[in-house]
Amino acid sequence: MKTSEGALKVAIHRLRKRYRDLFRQEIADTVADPTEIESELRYLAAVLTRNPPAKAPLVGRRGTVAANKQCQRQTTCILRRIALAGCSAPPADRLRATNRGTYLSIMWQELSTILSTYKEERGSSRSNKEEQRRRREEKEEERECV
Amino acid sequence: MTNGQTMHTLPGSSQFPTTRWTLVVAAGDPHRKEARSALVSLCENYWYPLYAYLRRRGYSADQAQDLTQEFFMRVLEGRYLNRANPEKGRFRSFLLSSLKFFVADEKDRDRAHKRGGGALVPLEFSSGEERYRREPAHDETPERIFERRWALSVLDRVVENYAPNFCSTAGQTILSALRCLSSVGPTRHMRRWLAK
Repeated sequence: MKTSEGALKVAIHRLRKRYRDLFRQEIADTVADPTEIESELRYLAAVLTRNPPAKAPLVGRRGTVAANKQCQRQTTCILRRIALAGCSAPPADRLRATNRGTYLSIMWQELSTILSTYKEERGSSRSNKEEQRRRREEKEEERECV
Repeated sequence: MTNGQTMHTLPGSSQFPTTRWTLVVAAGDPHRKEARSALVSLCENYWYPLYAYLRRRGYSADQAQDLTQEFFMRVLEGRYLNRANPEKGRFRSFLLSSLKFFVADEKDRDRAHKRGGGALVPLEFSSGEERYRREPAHDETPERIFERRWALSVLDRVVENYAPNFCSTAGQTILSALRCLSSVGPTRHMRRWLAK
């Protein structure tokens, strides 16, 4: 599935703008006072970013192989679609990683890269030369993926 | 919560709806229609962290399902609401502390079991067990699993609520990424991303 870079950027921009509001809104449903929303948000963010446990998910561990494979397929598919949109280089080499945590890290790195790229590009216009190079690379990547 | 009022809005957003937990705590009686509806909705959205907590404590899938369902029946009866502090209450804390109380009080459970009845909360235990089986193998405590799953449940709710408003191809691409991430685990990049 292909989507244009512009459309993707607009989508990310909208998502970024709304995501935190919606996160707060959802948290607000579970607290008894609006003043607790920020502290609960910080708490949940800390929980989500807490270091994974020492024996965290490994390929080959019983019960996790299928999950890892599924995650790998999803990640590959999504990253390919992001790459097709021309927003970042295809991380084909990094996809050789073998555990789920790595895949998830890659996913977030890619999303963060897209967001920061968009932020930078919004402030400065890109030169024609860069644009031509980017389009050329995009076409090459597209041919490879197809 | 403002003095004498059962509803509030978030500062800076006049369109923000009344929060569900505020309604429940302020009403103090889950049999009131609005409070009951809000409480059922909350239970439906956040039952999985409790189920994962029970599974992690060593209960079998069947036992965990029974305990979760019985616990929510007690909650809907208003059993533990008098212990919720309306000024500092968080639904997350309330649920976990109440569940611990419920699990520890075997006599109360037996009495409730013999009495039977009560309103069942429609929970999809089959998908919950499947999801639990996909949980990574690790040595985290039940409490930490509960916290992590709770946070991910909030993210799930955000993504699912947002999905209908984001139907372009590009939007679906990003939503796919978010769904994938929120369904399988947290990452260290999330805090920075949320903070932007």
